[in-house]
Amino acid sequence: MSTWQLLKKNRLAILGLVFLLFFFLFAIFGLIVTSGKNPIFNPYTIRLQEKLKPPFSKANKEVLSPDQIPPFGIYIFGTDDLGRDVFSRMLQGAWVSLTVGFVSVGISTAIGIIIGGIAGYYGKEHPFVDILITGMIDIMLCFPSFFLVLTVMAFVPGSIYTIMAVIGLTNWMGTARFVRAEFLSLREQDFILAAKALGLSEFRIIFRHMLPNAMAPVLVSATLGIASAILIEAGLSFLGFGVPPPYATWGGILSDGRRYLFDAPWLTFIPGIAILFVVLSFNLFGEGLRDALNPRLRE
Amino acid sequence: MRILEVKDLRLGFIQDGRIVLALDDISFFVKKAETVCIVGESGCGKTLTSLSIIRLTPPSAKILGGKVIFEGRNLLKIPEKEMREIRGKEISIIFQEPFTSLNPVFTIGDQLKEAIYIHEKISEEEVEKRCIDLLKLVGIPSAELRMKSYPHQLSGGQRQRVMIAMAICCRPKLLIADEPTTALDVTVQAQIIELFRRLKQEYDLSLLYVTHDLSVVAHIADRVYVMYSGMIVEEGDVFQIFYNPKHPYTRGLLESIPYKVKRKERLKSIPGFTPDLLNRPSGCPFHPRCRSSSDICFKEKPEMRYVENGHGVRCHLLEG
Repeated sequence: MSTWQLLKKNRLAILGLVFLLFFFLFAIFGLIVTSGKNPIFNPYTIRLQEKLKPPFSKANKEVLSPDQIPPFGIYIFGTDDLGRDVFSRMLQGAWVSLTVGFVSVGISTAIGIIIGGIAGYYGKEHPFVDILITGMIDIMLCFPSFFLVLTVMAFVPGSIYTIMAVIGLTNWMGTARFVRAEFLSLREQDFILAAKALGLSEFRIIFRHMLPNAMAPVLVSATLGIASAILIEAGLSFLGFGVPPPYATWGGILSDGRRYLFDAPWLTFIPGIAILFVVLSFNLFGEGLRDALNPRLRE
Repeated sequence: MRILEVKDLRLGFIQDGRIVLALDDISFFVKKAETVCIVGESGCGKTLTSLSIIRLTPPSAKILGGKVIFEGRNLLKIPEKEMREIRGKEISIIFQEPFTSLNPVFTIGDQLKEAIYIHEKISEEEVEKRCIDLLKLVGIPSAELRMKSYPHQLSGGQRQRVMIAMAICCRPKLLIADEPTTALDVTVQAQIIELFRRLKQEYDLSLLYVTHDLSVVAHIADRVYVMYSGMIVEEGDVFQIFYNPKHPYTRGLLESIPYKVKRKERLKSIPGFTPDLLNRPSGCPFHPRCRSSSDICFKEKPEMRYVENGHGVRCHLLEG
């Protein structure tokens, strides 16, 4: 059976996948409608007359100037303490979460593959390299990753790019371990010896013959890694170390809203539930993928 | 003309700080367009010998001395980059296990094309055409279709044919076949051996065929080297070895071929077991199993003595 057929049997994974597709569309749509000079959904418009309006309340057109009126004249997710439209801010924040998730996991996966690959491929002939790299991995794993990120973020200016870089640079250890283990077993395989006997260079053997064979666990850990990166970014924003205001992120909206938890609970519930669902979907899909890629499940 | 000459090759494993000799003064040569067989039991160092020719021995093995001369160059001395250009282009090798020797994630076509691309700069269409011709040559039906197949979709025999196609794709001068038919069933084995004979004629190949199967040797060899525990104990042309074996080990091997065995007659075998390469007996490595061994056999290593033209034996007890 193919991977896709196995995946299709897993209802939860498909549910996760459907929700992820919805999230992608939401984020891309959000990028289009909230950026530019005069965005359709303006996340920056301040309407002090209309603050803390509950979801689906109508905008009072008499007190607002025409460019302050939200699309369709309603606040779908309500407004915050400055009268900003929460739906517009959620749209803007979705793109941040998406890019932070993908770029930081891209960075960490690339580092993990290179470092794990070196340890796995050269480790047997040069034990020193292997000891050095596994030692480095163990040391990095000693620190709880969120506090490591937090510490680094306290020293560097908060921007979406530094967050991506810092999350990426502190979360490569799992991938490196996977790749090292896979490479250790792959390098003993007959087809690698056969490839050497054909005169292939080491570079080609590592990247064209070994890496594709090691990709399945890497892919799974990347999927799960995206969820944790989104969570880390939200946590950073919540603590005020994230993307600086007025740029909206889900963690930031959550953080701003907690002061009005009883007067305007939607300010915390909406971003909180959104983060919950996105992270849950990535995890469900990642776990489904792991099961589907497991060769033992195939006949 | 000798295309390959191995001289006094010594190879050892480093174990617990000491060197354990696994290949002991291996010397042999292959002439142009000749088929040379190396025969021996499992674990006698046949594979190690073939791997050391193209310098792909496991990292724990160290070459301690000797020469591997291929077309006038000592392959043990040239830089790795030059060696890579020789592998697959001048010298190709086919391994025993067709089931695991192909990369499971790429199609046959991709792997075959890559083998050509890395050694020759020719256009995509030409490569494609050459691959299909090669697959046809090695006897794979509907070659165009098979180019897009993955290794697991082929049978063992077909995979070995693909491996052969990959090995000959750049028209190498020397082909090393390391027990290429051992993992296949007998009918397929016969077809593959037939294929080797055909390819040899068509491509003007020199073939170094490593096997433990004496019937295969009788079928294809011009000259034979008999190997025992990391040492070549007897060498000669196929008639000398089969009709006039001198070394007690060669005799034992030939006697133990199950050929026209009568009812109730037991199969003959050589008593004892093959010694581990890491634990070789002193002197002549065969002495613990030899019917007629004497004192000198476990004290001194026998030298190669030639009894007639090209027929050499390493045995102290050789009369004359």
